[in-house]
Amino acid sequence: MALTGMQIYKNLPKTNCKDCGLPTCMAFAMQVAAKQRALTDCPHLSDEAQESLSEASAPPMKLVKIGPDGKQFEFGQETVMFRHEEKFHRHCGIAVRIPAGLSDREAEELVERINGSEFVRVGSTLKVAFSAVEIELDDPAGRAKLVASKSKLPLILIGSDPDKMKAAAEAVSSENPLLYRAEASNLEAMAEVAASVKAPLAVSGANLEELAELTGQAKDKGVSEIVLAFGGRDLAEIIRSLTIARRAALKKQFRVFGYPAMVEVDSETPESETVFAGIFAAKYAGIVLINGQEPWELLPIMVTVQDIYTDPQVPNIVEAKLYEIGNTNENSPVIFTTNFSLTYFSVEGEVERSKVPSYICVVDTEGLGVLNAYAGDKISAEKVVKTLQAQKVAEKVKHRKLIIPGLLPIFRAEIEDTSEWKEVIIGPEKAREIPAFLNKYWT
Amino acid sequence: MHLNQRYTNWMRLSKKLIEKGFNDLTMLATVLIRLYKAELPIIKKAQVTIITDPKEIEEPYEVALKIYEKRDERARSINDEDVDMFYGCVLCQSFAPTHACCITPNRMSLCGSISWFDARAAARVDPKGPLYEVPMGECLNELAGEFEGVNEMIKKRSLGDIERIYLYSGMEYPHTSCGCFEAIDFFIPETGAGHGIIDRNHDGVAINGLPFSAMANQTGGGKQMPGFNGISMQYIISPKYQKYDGIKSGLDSGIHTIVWMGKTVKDRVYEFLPEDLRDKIATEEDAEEPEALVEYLSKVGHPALAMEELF
Repeated sequence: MALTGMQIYKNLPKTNCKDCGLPTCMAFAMQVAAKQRALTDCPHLSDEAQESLSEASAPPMKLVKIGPDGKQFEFGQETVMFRHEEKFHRHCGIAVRIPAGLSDREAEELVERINGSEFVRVGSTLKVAFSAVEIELDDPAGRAKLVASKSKLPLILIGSDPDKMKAAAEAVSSENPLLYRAEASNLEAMAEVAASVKAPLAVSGANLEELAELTGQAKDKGVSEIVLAFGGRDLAEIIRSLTIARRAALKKQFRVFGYPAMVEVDSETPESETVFAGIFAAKYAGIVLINGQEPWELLPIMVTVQDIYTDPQVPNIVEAKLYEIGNTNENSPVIFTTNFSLTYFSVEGEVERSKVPSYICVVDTEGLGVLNAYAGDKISAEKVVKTLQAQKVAEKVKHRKLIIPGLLPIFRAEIEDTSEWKEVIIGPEKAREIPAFLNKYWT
Repeated sequence: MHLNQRYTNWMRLSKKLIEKGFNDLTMLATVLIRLYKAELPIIKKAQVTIITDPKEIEEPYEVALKIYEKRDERARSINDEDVDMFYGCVLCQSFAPTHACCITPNRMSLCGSISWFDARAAARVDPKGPLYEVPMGECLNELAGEFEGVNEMIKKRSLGDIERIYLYSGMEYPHTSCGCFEAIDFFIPETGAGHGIIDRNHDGVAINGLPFSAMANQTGGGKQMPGFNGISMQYIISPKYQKYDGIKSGLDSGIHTIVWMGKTVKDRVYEFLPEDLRDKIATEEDAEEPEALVEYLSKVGHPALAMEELF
């Protein structure tokens, strides 16, 4: 929480000594509050003042890192309850469970499948975040090492027996795995393992009150990286807990909940598992632990995360240039659209699907889709004409036909009147109608 | 552009506009007429006269000032206790999304342009517009000026960011500001319970070493900032001015907390200040640093000096 000038002032010497270069302590306090000066610029700050101020200005939620350098997963240090207030900073990660009942070979195969579960959407690669291996078997260390050797991703070790967890954790300590999980019955022992191996620890409680106590105890035992773990079948209760924990940390500086959260999804069917995981990912879970491994089970969750974790203030954009889709030639159609990623990739995907090689002229609308750009005055017939000129599109094709988005029919007359593109064709309103359109009108 | 309003009106024309053929002020006048008629459908016909000769504008300007004075006088004639409806204004929300002004008879908008009467008229003309009714609801704290209806309004308009406001306090749950306030009331901790007031026209820094712009950064933007408030000039001479802070510090009223004013502020409000107080308020001509100010206040016997620190 940002400290106000007054709060900072209270902790200053109040002598107006000017050693910081400013005329008064109040002036200095205001500058610090505005983040234009550092608190430490005051040479006479008392130790208590430093401590109480840095405690107050520490981020309300810890940043937790799982995995070794090179394949590290970071989450936490979130700042807002709603993404529109700023944004959600660190993507929620999917953890896929590797059950103890699998043979070593089956486990290896599953790890390979998890490694390969990558999808490209709107220009980004979506992946699974963790291999979550159950270590409650006869040879916990063996299983842990096996998975660690094969997995491209950081690890979560799943078990409730502190001795087995110790064996597994020590065997792969260099992987900095998340130890999942401690609860009331085993907290002390689990915390000791986590502290000695220096690994992050997931902590769960029967209810929020118990959880608050347990995280405090874990911290006292020397565990600094803690993850709040939630689970069970009561969907509403999990959402409530996730919300209260975050709100308490962010709004009330409740330090015992100042950690990122995760959910072990427990549901009756694979379909509902996917749906619930998506819901939790949208509602403050930083990791969702699931059993599903098939693309149809993973993709909906990944897409939800991809969308929720975009920055509402900075839309994803593509470069505003002329794109050639397929084997274009001087007779190929010319289409224009905007540089908002989702818009561009929707159009591009459909043009590819149509199998009609085409040019796509992308106009820079600062990341707004067609209608938003029009409403926000970021696109005009004039701008389209200028863009076509700048991209030298007329040099690529013999004809002078331009296909414009069906949502901007109003541009047709002006483009025809003010440019060499004398035949403006109004295309479909929806990208998915592009293949039918191109195949009908352009052959 | 909405900036310091009834005395100043800015209009910026881009070069592109000129390139496109804007070369005649009657074009501007046409736009104005269209805007007015669109915003206020009760206007059927309008005529615009644009005066560009600075000499010629002097007289009508004086007329305008007299009208403002009369309006202010009328506004001063009624108090918060006399009405059952306040008004709200969100004209500045494009600048400060969590800010809304609460306009009362004793407290006009902090931009200095919308009195309770103006707000009432505007809300009537366009009830769904940027100026709207705020039913007062129960009075939760008479001294602080806390009203149930006002709290509800600000909670709604700030989307939950701000939950309660003490209309008559700058130190506890103060009213938020956007960026176009006429002046800033700032706490001067070295003087016990004293406050200072600086306005936009002030040259250089205030007694605390900060210029208006630096304080404005902290004060504005729709955040509740105890100790630093954007205010209108009218509010300074209102009977409710920071009344809660004043009484809580053991003074006779809110205005008695003022120990320093920029000269430009003091000149404007001098005749309205309490007689036993106005010559005890320092300006930059009397003191330039907090220590010198404390000495000065001690010399003239300003009541705020003896009072406890409020926070």
